[in-house]
Amino acid sequence: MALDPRDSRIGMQQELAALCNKLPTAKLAAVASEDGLLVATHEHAEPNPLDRKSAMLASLIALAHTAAKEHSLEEARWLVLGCRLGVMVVRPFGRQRRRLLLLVVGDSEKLGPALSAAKEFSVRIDAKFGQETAEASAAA
Amino acid sequence: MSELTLTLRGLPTHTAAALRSMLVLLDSALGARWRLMDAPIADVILVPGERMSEIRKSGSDEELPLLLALTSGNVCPAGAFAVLKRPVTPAHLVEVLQLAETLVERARATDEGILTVPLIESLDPGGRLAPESFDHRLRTTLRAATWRLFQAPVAVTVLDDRRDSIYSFLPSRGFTTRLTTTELAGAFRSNPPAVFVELSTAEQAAMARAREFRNPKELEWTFWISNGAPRLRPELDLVRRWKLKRWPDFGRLPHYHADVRMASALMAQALTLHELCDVAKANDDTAINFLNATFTLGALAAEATAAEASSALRAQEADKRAAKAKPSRLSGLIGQLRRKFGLASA
Amino acid sequence: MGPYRIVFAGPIGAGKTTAIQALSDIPPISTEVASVEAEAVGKQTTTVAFDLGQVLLENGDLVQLYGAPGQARFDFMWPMISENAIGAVILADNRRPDTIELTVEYVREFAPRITAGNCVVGVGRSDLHPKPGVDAYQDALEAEGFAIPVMEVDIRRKEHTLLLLDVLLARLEATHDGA
Repeated sequence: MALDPRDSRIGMQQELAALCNKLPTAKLAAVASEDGLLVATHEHAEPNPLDRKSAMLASLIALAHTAAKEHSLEEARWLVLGCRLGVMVVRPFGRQRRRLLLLVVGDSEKLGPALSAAKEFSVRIDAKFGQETAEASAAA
Repeated sequence: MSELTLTLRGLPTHTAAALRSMLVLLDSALGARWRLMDAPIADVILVPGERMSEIRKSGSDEELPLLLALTSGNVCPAGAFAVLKRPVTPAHLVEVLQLAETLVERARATDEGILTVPLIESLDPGGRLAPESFDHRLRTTLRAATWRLFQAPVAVTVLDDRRDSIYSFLPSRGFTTRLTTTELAGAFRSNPPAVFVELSTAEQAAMARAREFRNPKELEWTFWISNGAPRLRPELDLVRRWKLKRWPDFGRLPHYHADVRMASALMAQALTLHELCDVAKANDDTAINFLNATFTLGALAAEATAAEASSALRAQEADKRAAKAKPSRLSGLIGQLRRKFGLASA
Repeated sequence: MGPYRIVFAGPIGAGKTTAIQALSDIPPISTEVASVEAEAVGKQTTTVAFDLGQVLLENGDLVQLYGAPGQARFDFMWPMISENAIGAVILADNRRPDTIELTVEYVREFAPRITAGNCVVGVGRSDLHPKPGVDAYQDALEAEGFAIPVMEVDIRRKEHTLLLLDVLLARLEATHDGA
């Protein structure tokens, strides 16, 4: 049976909500496509498609990849923006790393836990959704 | 059709008789345009190659009368425009006489003043060429033929002296040409002899089905922008200031590099012809062509009144002060970019 | 002095990358990624930040050629890449039913940020989609107060890209008394 994209987004939203619960100072957890479309947030499974934050995210990661290639470091795996009032962590994940996890934490001291949580999330999601999608494709 | 004449001089009797017979047989292939004369002078004189020196002729090999040498070899004697090689074949005779036809017509065109029509003076008050110069198959120049077309549009093909089409025009559709934009502009600039042939209804229908047509304004633009000896149109003058209302579409219209600079200058401010030459660093001929062509598009406007001129001038001066107050960081950049990409400033 | 900047803007698929490639001394840096909306927009990839090419001049000055992302959700990039640019080339795609409205929008966005409002519009794909014509674009731009050159181009032809550059330079000369 093919995976219903809406079920996938609800599942994603639930996972993002769980991620935020692990980090008390988390303000936002979201997933976007690499071309800047918001897929889900920790609050909404059907987010506003006009959300520009995802577009900015895509721009940042694309420039990060470009910079990494300039230094012969291949693709970027992490992007961390340290800001005065918190930290933004971005991690590409998913098939061909075309999904972008954004985690915004309101306490810059919590960078370490944020990085761990983000990594753990993306590895688990790769395993969970990636595996289901492969089975659905085979059965369709 | 005007006739072309041929005479035979110094040929043995049997050779002359054979050639006469051949000419009669080839009459239709030659378009029934050649008449054999029994006179010392004609448009073309056929002479044995070894007797060429007996003919004294002033002028170049391509001036009338034309000398055609009958020889056994391929070498063209001095003074002859071509060689007719023994034994003479019908095909070769036709080929040589068709070449002669072209040269005779070209020579005649420069002799007969009405066939090279100056642009403005040739028009009567109705805007047509002098009636006696126009017949069903008008021999003229490309520019004169096109000017005639602008005054009274008809379905026509304009041919060059090789009988190749330069362009065709259908009033309901526009114009079509086998030439590139650059070639067409070049043709208008060189203004070669041309033949103006009106199309029959059947020819028009066939052409309408087979060809892609372009906006007639593009033909007008090309006509005006590519004049080798330009004169300002009567609607324009040297005294008034002119401004461009909108940019010409240089993506479609043929243009010279200076035209882009002049467009930019005239969009920014109203200028007289001489001011335009100064500002855009263009010569008079180029500027005249540009004003004529943009006027054709309806894109040129005169500065309306003295009050508006004065107000416009104040605005221009303010703009200039503002521009000069900007940092000079652009000095040199524009020239360097032009040199880099071959966008010459001249 | 410099680096100077020229911006190429327009909807997705209009030919911005092609134009930059024609002029750039280096292979342009690209931030193209696979497009989730490929079917809707008719292109497999989309630019998510900008394209960047460079022109090195004989005196060592640098001119940067920025290709703006075409999709509206990336419009936050537009002010960043166009600020103080010496010119903007807006490429229109005549296949689009909304091409005139879109072009006016691009001009409205970019012209105020460009030196002397120095923009030129290149209308692509007119060979197969002759309408709207150049006059229609000019009418719409004039209604908004913009007297900008509009010309039909085939951006795959380098001489047309150079024509657009030539027009930008001529406009700069007219406002800055040449160079």
